[in-house]
Amino acid sequence: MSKEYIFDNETDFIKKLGELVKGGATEDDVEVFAPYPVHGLDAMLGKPSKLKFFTLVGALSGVTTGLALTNYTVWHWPIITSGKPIHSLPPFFVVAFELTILFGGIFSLLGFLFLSRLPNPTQIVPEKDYGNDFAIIMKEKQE
Amino acid sequence: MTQENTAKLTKDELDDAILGAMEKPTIWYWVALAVSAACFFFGIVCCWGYQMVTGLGVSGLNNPVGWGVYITDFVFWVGIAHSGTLISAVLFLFRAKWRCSFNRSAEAMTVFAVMTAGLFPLIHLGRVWLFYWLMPYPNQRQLWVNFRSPLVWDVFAVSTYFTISAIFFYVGMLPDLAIVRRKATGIRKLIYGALSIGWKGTQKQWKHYNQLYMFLAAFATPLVISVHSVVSWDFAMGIVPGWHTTIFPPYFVAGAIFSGCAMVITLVVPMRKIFRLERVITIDHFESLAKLMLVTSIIVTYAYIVEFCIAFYSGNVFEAYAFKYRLVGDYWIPYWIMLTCNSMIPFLVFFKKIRRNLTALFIISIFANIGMWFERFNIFVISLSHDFSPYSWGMYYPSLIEIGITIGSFGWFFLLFLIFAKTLPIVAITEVKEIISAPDHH
Repeated sequence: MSKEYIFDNETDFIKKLGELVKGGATEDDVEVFAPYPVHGLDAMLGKPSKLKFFTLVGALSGVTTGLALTNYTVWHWPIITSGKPIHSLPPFFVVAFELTILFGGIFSLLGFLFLSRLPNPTQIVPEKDYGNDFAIIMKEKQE
Repeated sequence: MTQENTAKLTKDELDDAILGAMEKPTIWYWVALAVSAACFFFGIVCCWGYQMVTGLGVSGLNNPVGWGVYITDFVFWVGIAHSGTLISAVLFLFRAKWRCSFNRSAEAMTVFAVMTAGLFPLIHLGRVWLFYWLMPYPNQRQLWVNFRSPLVWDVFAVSTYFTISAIFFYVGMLPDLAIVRRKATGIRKLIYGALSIGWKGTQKQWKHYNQLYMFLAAFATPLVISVHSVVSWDFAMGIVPGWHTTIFPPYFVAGAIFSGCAMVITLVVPMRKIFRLERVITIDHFESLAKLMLVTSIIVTYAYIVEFCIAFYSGNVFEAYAFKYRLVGDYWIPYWIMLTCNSMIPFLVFFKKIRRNLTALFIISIFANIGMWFERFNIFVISLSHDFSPYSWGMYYPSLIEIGITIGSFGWFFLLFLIFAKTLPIVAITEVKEIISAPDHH
């Protein structure tokens, strides 16, 4: 049977979770619910989030797209405007910078949705909502 | 300071206090909504519609002033949009606790202000149905847009700003939407359930969520600065006297934050009163915001002085004339309105009594909004009307259609904000909860 512990304050919750972790529980054995992000919980349980890799890939693809798009298009039809060089890097960096942020932000969001398994249609109206309580659910060990 | 006032609330009371704002609206809400909708209908639907049918000639735009009230409105609304992200993202990175009572309204303000700003390049186009020509794609002869033009950078900057602000707004709201889902019943439960996309608040979700929020804040901070710098380059890249200065990007960014803070005060003072959020949004919070407004007002004033010094010491007759003309020329009234509203009235905030008095702050914030609108008007119109050659000088007066569309943009903005105030949680419940429940961590 899975065990359920419910607390209405952070202190007791952290204490109990600390005991369980000491007893050998890992991120895969317990499911923890909290009404707000609790400081220090990430350090107690599991590995750090892998989201940063999504962000990095997004930002890099953004800057590449920006530089490639601008340089390709002026190379494709080299038309001089205002007597400026065909490959004017300073203005192209403006476009590349904006795209870095745009792609970085969008990739981060998609990465978050993927890692958190959202959207989750089965939980649109969840059967159980712990509301303002902290909950620790010990999963049944699969023997 | 902050805790003393909010610590009396428990988590459940907080939920009720903020979700209470989403209950059945009062008559005043309907009145405000009706007024905004009427302004929107009159300005955007009727006046813009008339302009589309008749042509851009119905505005006062002509040679030499081709950028008038529409571009003023565009920069004004983009500026308003800025402090939303500043309050949310920059203050989040600085761990300023007082942000959590304002950040939701500020983010909403950002998204709606960018939506309003985005209308103006389209209004200014004249033939709005060709708006997609702005997009970076090749025409039928395979020629692309000119990436060396600041106007193209603007397309990238403003669309990125809108996308990232909207993501930031939504992500910040996700746990709060789950709270609304828990309290709602019937069809509302389903709607908020769908909006909260199955958020459960498990440790794994929070872990990724925290990282996402931090990354978005870290992206949004340089974005704020870049977007208004790009907007200022629309002018600074031109050679018109009064525009062609390197001080423009920091000057515009400071001005944007100033006007944005003022708009947050304008919006939140009545909102707090109407929705009885006195226990969540305290006078201390307003005081912090007022100080931020004061700092940016000082920076803006400094920029006004520096502009004159640059013009004077440059020895360039055109530049020097442009500034003399601003001060005592045909457009002296808008210039002095700007100076009074941006550089004199906000200095009253130096007095503690005034910055802790919400009525006074509300009035000062309205003056600041007016002043910042005139600042943009002065920069664009005065410089264009008297450029290098006296032969090409000319005066510009906004037409009634332009004034109507400006009123319409305010209607559109307040319409969106009022709808937001009744349908979404107006304060970041989760973040306030974090502060009231875990004070020793901060």
